Amino acid sequence: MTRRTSPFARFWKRHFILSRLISFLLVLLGVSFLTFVVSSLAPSDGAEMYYLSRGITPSPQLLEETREQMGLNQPLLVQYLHWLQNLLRGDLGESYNFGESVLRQLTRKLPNTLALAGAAFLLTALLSLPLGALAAVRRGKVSDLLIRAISFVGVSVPNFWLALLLLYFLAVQLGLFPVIGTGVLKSMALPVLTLALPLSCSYVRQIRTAFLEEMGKDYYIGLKARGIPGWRIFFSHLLSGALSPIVTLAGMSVGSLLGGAAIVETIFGWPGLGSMVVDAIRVRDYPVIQGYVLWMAVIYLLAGLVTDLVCCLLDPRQRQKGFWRRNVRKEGAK
Amino acid sequence: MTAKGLTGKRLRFILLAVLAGGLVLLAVLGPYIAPQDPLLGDASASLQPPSWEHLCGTDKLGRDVFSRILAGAGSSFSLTFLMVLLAALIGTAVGLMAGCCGGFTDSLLSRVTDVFLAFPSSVFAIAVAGILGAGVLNTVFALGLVWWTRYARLTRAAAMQLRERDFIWQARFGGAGEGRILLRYILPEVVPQVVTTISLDIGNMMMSLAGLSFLGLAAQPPAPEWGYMLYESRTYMQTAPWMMLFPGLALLITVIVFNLLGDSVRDMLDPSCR
Amino acid sequence: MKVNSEKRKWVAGLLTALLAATALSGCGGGAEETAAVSSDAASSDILRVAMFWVSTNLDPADGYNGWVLSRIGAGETLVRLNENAQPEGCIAESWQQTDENTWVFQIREGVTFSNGKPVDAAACKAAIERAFEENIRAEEYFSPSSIEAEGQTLTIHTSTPNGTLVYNLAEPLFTIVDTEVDEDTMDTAPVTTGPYQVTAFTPEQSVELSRNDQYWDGTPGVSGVSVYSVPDSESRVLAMQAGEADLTTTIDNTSLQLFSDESRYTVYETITPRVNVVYYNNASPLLSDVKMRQAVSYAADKDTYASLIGCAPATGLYSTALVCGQDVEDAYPYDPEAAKQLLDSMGYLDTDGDGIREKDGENIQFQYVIAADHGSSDSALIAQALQADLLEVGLGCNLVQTENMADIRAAGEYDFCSANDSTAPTADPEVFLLQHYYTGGSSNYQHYSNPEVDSLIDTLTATFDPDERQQLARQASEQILADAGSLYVGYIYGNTVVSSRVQGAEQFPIDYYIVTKDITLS
Repeated sequence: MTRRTSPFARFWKRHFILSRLISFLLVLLGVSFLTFVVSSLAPSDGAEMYYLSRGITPSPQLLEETREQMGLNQPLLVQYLHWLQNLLRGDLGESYNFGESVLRQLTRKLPNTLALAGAAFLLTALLSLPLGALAAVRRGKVSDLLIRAISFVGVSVPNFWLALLLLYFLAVQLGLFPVIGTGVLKSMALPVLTLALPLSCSYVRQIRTAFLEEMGKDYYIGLKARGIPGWRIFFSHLLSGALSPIVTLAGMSVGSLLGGAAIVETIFGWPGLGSMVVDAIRVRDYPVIQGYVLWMAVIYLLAGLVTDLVCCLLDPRQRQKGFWRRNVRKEGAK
Repeated sequence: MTAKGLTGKRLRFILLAVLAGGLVLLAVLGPYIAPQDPLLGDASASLQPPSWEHLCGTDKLGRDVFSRILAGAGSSFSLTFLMVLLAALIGTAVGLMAGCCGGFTDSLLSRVTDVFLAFPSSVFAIAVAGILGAGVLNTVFALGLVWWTRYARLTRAAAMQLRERDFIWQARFGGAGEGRILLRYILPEVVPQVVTTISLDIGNMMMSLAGLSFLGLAAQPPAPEWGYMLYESRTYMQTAPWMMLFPGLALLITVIVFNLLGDSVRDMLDPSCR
Repeated sequence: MKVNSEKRKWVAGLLTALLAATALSGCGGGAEETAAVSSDAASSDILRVAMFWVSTNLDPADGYNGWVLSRIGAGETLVRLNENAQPEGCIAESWQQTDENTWVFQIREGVTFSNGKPVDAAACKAAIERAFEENIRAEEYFSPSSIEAEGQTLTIHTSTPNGTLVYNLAEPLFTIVDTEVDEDTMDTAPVTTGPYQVTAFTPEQSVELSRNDQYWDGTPGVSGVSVYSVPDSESRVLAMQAGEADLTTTIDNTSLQLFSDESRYTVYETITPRVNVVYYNNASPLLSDVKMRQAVSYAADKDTYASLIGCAPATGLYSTALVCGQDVEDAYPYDPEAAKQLLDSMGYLDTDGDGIREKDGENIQFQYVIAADHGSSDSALIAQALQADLLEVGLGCNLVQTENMADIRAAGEYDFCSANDSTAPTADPEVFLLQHYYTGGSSNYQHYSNPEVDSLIDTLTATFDPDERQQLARQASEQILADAGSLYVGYIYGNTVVSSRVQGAEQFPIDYYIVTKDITLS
């Protein structure tokens, strides 16, 4: 509070959108560096994997030559800059396993993951908004307690177990959902449910809190006192008031959905980025893992950026806080 | 009203703490009270359904699932605690440093934290664990690397608020050095918040760990680990559903107890939250 | 107050209705579509196959895509391997070896590509040469010095004598494909000669095929084939149970019992050349002693492991799918007492009473490396079972899961490692011996070396008579067994499950044949 505000900080506050874009780019640079550093922690390097993935056990001499060729003997920073240069040209390297460009592999799988995440997000919204609002409006009543109890258990269910249970009870025992085929609505049902249920449970709780906060405000009490019907207050005031935290939640859910997709896609054999990375881990296909992490971070960052901009439009008072600042709360379910 | 609420909260806390303590005790004693050897199987008793002899049935190698759940609790618990403590320690240290030093240090550390926050946590954990390779320690490292940021944010914010407070200024005028102020005055103020977050995190951590195990990234056979047991159960979903049901149930119950405990700790220590 | 609570109820009711409506509309849409799809598929003459793998493209020369083409009944090669894993004519009608380095193939008259273009020797030459250009794996099979095409006569000259050329040409890498199409067509709908032709392809997801009316060997049994990629065994089981698929393969052994209802399903099983094997590091301090290896071999209850993982108990190195693997006597039947006696005779005793024998005052602890394939694979099951059995005779064993198996094998820092290896990738026994047991062989990370075996393998390489070759392979494998060079656990079954609609399916020992012209639907 008593800290002096630098011109920089003032600029930061005034040009919110521009400043967000600049910090977005800075973080992006950091993300690329961190991704690179993490990949360099791998126990075997690119030269070695290049041969091993082709079933060749290279001699130390050959290995050394290849390392030289691939520039793996240079200092880490030089390697990073080189890698970044390629990255900016859209070259994420080649998959060890398929010899296919990583970028191509990612672009091929991304739509599948987005479809899954999008559907799960929609279902989450459809479930958690009405239930959260219901719980807030019926605070302390049986329905509220029930919703809270169920959602509490829901956030504690590991998603991979839920996937197995759904598969066992819905697909095996009841034969409700088909398992074959991809890209078709029917085969999405189980993975979408698996992703959406725990997330909904977590959001019901937070949406309830958001509504309760809004209902504790003076204007609500005033409107009530004036005898305005409850549903009208709900739709014309409460909903818009609680919208900002809900949008933030939505932005954050991108992270949970993308992360959850890795396990869920693996279980249901969904050909998206998640099952791709698990397969890549299995065969130690580092460029693919690297590309995956990078993309996920970029998508997540973009989601954050959009969320910020939307929140800023909804409620200009929020602007100085920013997405990452507000985001100290629990990050999703997992 | 307040007095009653307080005792209610306290009672709830004590009850849950006892429950959680019981689970921890079970985990510690697990290997000793397991009715059968969790590692040695009897191949002739492969995939037996639950019975009095095998409370939760047996797995493919004829090992007693109940004994394996008990034996697996130990590693699940100790690893989870280790990871949460590691994350809390790193995060708190970074956060305090950023919050107290301010200026360039703060900017730098905050940017670094931002970068880490830019990765969806489970995505990052999977990738790090995947790149480092399967292994318990690698998983601890991966999850620790992901989870420290929230502690850093939390303590940084708290420290920044605190350092301008009157009692800190008094101490400063009294000649206390920054280091002393940090340890003596600021740290104790931050601890309750950190403890709250730790207690809220345990359940999540346990699930994340099991998730990585499920992907084959943490535990290694024949070690009984809940996530890995669930992975193994997948092939036998129809022929031996008990292999899938019981380890999951154990995980669910544990996570629920620790989540409830976390809520209760928050209510006790940090009433401002709600 | 009362008014208020009523209004709240009203809002709550509205929300509940909204929720119910969305839920209902969601379910309704789903149900409708499901019904439409299943009735459509069941009434038509389309064979629906749940396959464990569909590649990213269909170019047979790229990666192992040729295997996919062959499995789905699109791709064919000059020669194919029959139910006894012996070569028989396919696109080539007959062949003969004119000298050590020359093979002459007679291309069958009347074979055409699915686009109507006739298949002559020139077309075959182009397809084979393309495989060599595009895929380094081709060199592992043979190295042609020249290929000549004249009318229907194809002559292949190899740079070194090669006794296995005919077998090798059955590998779907050498699928005969029309090379005169553009690259895009090659990737998504290659023009081949098989009973079915690709009409639509979604990478890693599905392939649609229709009957090839030009097929040279009679009319294929169904009007079309739909192949879906279902990588997970359990999901393939579910797909069969739900009636979403008519045929699937490679089901986990435990789940086969779910198909025991013979009125609804038929299960075909056949032993393949694949084996589950535990390799001993013959150069490790503990296992360099043949007696120690023998003791371990006796201690392993491998029949139980085999029944546990659902394979046929192994008696020797080669699977019974091969002639050289048939009627081999088990050199090391399960006998823990014999193991103990051997260990006692070597002076390894448990003096400190901890249940583990000591060597030079230190507990014997083997390092057992298993690949971290992140699954409850057979290798992991065998490792855990063997660990328990070794403890019974007083031998300790650590399981180490590793990411870079190749490194560890190369460095020789292990005692045991498990593998699931094909003892005859192209139905011929030579390659396996050469790679795994020849001194300095490319996959001889077990450091096995016996001059006698080396000379047997040398003779084998220079021998062309098929029967003699099998005899030589058998001799070599018996010598390796006598040395307790490795522990062979079981011969792996291949399985195919079909619904009662399907007739004429078969399980071949070689796993690149699944959909054939003989399959029909009722």
